[in-house]
Amino acid sequence: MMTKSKKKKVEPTIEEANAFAQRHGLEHLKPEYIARLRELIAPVAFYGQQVRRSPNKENAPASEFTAFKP
Amino acid sequence: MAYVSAKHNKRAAPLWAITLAEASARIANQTLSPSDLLEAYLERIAAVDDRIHSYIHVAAAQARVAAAQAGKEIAAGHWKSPLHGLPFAVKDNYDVAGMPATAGSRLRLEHVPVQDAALVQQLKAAGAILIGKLSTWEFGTGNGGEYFDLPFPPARNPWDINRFTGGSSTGAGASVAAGTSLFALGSDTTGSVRLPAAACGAIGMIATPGRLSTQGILPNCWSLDIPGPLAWTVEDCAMILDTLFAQTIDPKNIQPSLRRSIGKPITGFRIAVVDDPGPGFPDADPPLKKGFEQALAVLEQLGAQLTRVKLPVPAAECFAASRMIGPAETAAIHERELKEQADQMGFALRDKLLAGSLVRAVDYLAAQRLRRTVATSLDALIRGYDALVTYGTLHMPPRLGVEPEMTAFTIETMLTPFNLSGHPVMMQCNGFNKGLPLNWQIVGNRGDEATIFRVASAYENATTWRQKRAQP
Repeated sequence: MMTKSKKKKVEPTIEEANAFAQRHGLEHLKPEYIARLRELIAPVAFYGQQVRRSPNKENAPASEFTAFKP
Repeated sequence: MAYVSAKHNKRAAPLWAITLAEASARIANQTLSPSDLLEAYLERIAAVDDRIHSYIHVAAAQARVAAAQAGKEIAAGHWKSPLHGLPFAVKDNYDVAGMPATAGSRLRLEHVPVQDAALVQQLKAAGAILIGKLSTWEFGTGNGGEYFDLPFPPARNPWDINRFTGGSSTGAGASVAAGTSLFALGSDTTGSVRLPAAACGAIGMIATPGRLSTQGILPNCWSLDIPGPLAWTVEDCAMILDTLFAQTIDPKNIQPSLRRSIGKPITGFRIAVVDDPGPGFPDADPPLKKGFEQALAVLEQLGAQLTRVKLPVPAAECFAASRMIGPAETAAIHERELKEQADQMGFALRDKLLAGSLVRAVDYLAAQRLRRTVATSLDALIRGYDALVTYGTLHMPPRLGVEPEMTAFTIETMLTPFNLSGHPVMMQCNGFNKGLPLNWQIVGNRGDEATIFRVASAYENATTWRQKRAQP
């Protein structure tokens, strides 16, 4: 779906995933879930960088589009 | 798989196969009782639901009481609305007072709300009869795959029970197509009403955001969640939304009945056609391409003027934005559950929450900024036309449990642009291939659902697809 960057890959380590979990209140996750967290670090970062950036600094985030009040 | 042809067996058509419009008319003129109609659906559930698993919970006793009450009211001349006495079901992420609301999750097996979701309340006030709660992906969300690790079996596609229903409103699509409910309510974030409608051959509709209340529906993504009905015909869907709009819309902004759009000509309508998914997504599967082109030919025969256009932001880019927005918001909503109950979740929900926990705020905000671009540019495009038509899914309904096929079906679609932009959209069946339904989307200008119904109804009336019913 998306072309991958030719930059050298920096593979996340399990220590990095454990540190992230510790910092963000996820330290009680089972080891297999931390392992999965590690697997997800690179693709989530990659997909985040795929989102086109707006050159206009006044283009504010659009958090919701409600045309009619429920 | 076999079909029942309503055209050739009209007199013998079972009650579960009649349209909402016909059921409404027969109940109003008292040639059909709400109780008899309900019993037909309960019999249908008993006959087929062990194969398609459209329901998590069937509330037969409560429904029978409500149907008997509706019958008495109508006999006494107290007819409430065109939905009075008609049975419906809701996705299990909707709250219903006194009824389990598991959202398909082990975490919520004991959760029994004390208040109805706003839309359920509105349908009950209109006299509709709730049959029960429908299957869903856990918490109404997921990653596209099916891992058979939830407390309820996954719903199966009534056209081929070895195929996926589309998610996350899995039971809603299956039930409407199989006739285990007359109509259903689902919820959509990036396609969860329209994917099941597409895979199961039903009508699925999301209206302009804000028209329908999300109150009492388990949140999945605050900035994108939108409820929507699934029904068998365009007119049926119009009658449901007419009822809900009548009770929701600001009195200063009353809309004409959508049902009045049914059967009107579309001669001279200017319709934009997006037939290219753009970079990043594959072409539609050949049967979907063929069905799309044949449907366009029908519109031309009906007098519409078609203009080929391109999406200002390709669908793949829109999906990339939703890939930041959806998981991040879901992780924020269910942060406590991830911290404390991750081992009780199914793989799909847990995986989404883990991924969402990793989304940087900068990337989330970039996605929300792109969303503004998508909305304004699509608005500018569609305003030049009465409506826009495009593919729905780019793939045929996949095999259940075959993850690559299922995730491709869920991800590679033309659905996300209209979630980001906030335009009303209808998913409609536009044919069959080897017994499986084809689909397309009809998109309207913001606030103009009526034109969608006019185009969809003109197309439906010119084709025979509604005469086929699934026999799981």
